[in-house]
Amino acid sequence: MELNANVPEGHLEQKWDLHRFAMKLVNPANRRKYHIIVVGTGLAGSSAAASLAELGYRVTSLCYHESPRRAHSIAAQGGINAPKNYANDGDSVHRLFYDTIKGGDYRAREANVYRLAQVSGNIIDQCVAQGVPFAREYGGLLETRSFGGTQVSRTFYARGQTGQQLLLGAYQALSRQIGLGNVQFQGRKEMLDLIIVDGKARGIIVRDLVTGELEPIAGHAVVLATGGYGNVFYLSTNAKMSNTTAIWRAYKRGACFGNPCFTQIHPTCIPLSSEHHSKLTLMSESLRNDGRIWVPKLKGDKRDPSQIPEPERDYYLERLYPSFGNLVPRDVASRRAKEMCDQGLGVGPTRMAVYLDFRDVIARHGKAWVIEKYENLFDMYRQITGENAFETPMRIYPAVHYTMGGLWVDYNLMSTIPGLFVLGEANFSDHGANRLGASALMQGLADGYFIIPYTLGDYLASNKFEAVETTHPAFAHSRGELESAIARLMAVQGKRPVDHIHKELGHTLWNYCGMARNAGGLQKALELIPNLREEFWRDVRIPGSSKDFNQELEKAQRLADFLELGELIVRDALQREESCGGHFREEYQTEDHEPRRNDVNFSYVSAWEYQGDGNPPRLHKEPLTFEYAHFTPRSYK
Amino acid sequence: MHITLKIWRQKDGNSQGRFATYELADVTPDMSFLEMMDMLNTDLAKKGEDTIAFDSDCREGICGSCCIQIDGRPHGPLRGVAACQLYMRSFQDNATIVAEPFRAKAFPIIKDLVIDRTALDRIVQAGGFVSVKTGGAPEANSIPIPKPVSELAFESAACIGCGACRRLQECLRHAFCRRQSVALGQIASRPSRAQAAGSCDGGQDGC
Repeated sequence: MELNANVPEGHLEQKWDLHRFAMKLVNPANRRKYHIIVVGTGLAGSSAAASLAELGYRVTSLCYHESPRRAHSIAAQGGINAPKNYANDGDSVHRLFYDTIKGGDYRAREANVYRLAQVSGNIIDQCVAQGVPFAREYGGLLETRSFGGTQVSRTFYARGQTGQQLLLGAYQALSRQIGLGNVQFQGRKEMLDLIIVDGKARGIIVRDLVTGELEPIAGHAVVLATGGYGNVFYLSTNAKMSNTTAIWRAYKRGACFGNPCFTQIHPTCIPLSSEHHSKLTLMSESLRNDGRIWVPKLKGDKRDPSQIPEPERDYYLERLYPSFGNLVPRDVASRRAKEMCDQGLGVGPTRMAVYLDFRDVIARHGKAWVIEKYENLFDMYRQITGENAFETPMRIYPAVHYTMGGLWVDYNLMSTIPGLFVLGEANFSDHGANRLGASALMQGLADGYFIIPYTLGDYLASNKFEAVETTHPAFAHSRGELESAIARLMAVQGKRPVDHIHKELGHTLWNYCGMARNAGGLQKALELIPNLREEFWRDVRIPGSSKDFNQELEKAQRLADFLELGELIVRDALQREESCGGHFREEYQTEDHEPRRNDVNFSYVSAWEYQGDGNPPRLHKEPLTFEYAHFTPRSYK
Repeated sequence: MHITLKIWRQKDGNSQGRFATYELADVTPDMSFLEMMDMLNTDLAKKGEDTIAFDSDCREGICGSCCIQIDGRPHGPLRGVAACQLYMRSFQDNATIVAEPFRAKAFPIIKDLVIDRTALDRIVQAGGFVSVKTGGAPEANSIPIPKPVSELAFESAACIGCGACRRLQECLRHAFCRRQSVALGQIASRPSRAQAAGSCDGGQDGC
């Protein structure tokens, strides 16, 4: 198999324009003849389904929630980037492109990132037209703020609920098409397999989560917008149901998996307080605009933070990175927080936390100003910890948040399986080894509103399709396989509940493939994970029946896939003998503990191809070349 | 903490439901209500008993999946707080807590504490949107919108769509009308019904 990124010819600035002209179009009258299956209804999935239906394609949209609006995009807090330069601070498309490439530590594809920067302005226009209530100045114009990893103010936001407001916009657009009959929506359906006929993606099998029935859906192309796989760590900021199953099953049907080890650990989350914690909660990165991060200078200092005088506090990010200070990118802030805690400087009951302090900003601007900007975050913090962050500093610690890796896609967002397109966090494309804040919402909506409507049309117009109905033997074959796999799971009747095994997997990955990784630890994880997988299939306990609403079975199926993905993540981390972005290999660091990238040997995308159960996957490399953003050491000092 | 839970168990929409009682000895005050439910379900799974079905996803109070009525109130004792953000420190030791699904004709029960709220989506599909297609939107700053109007629209649009309040239909319509007003630069000044009545039970701020 040959990886071809299909990057168009031409100067960086002209590639997308030239490509749009070169792509074939589907006659408006013929679009009704094509049926597109869109899996997932977050920002990428809803915007894609709505936009494709507006063009005239027949669309089936489905998700495992009851309503499209419950997708986890709803929880995104901070904002969405666009280089509108409203702040008059020197922003431009090229600067957003450059910041994203550099922020991703030179492990993303230039042409994709440039296109992302180009269309990002249209997203803001589109969302404002939908009525998304972004923050505004008193003069009535849109307000922006700065975000980690950049020095310009290009982030549009709606308090700490930007994802919610953007998703409601896309959900309305989708609802409009459902009401018009152009989109058929199916809720509480989970995709369990991809159907390939004559080498093309031609359908999926879903499980009805209420009745347990396996149902086939046939179409001309399949679009996966099913989000990230951070829950492989068990504890993450993802929603409880977020999972890898859709993309993992596509991987097992031949789609390459790109950069699986690139996971983002977000620096500002509420720390774990007990083993019962079921998930970690993010405190938006925007808080780093106004809060100051510090630890006591004295190890094991147990004094109340208000009793620690100024000279005895170490504002370590401001000290180490004077030009970016508290606004360094996420990977840097996370790693430094871990380092402080590892040195015994951590705070709070578990000593695994650092302070995020708002004392100075409250003194400077007043409490009302802080409330207007961050009220929901302070409320959430109080709910969870029982503490008032207006009176005492927040305690924060890094947590798994986002996965830059995902299914490999070309410039057209098509995977290595013809007719299988992958959007949003589910693909690997734009963020390299580290995603900058406020870039995920941008990418999801860019993919759905402004890229897939063009590239999918080109695919449909360029290929011939024989009629494939759900009666095709490929559907029955897959269904048979799924039925026996489910029966095998239900028959185990062992002793360990699903969550127990999931926690153990998460623990292994967090310890050996988390914020810092080394060859010895990764080798150890490569022994532990297959053993745990074996134990899962021998000793898991799933009560109830597979023929009705069974949440334990849903979790078990997702965990079965996480147990396989976990091993791939570790393999990927082991082969990448360099430090870049969220992937910090302890063997490759400078004297002052900054990551040491190896551009000579590792400037590539690792794309893994499944070779059957029990066989090691095959590694393909897509070389990354940088014509416009030249390699520089990534310094935020 | 020791907690006695009385939980509504119902096999499916066609079966009779009933309350079942569970005793939990190892509850801690920093556990969320749903984490307590997780703990109970893990115990049930170990014994091979059918676990208690309940909807939850983001566990940050924003996705609106929670739909548990706790001690007779949607989402429990705290105002404006979804069940996933309810922590056990809000209860006394040795408390008896009653948990059942939101009770409404429009929300039929699927299983145990899980209900079908697709009625809410049908309201939006029937006209709760701004009719703009992808592409063709004018430059974002071409229509200035007064900050107070934008703030008001935000307050309404912050509804998490959980279905806890009794006036949700009016609220949803209102929220989307507000957004339309913002899109058109018009003034929308009426508070939503639930806000006016002070009866919003769930979610984040606003109704």
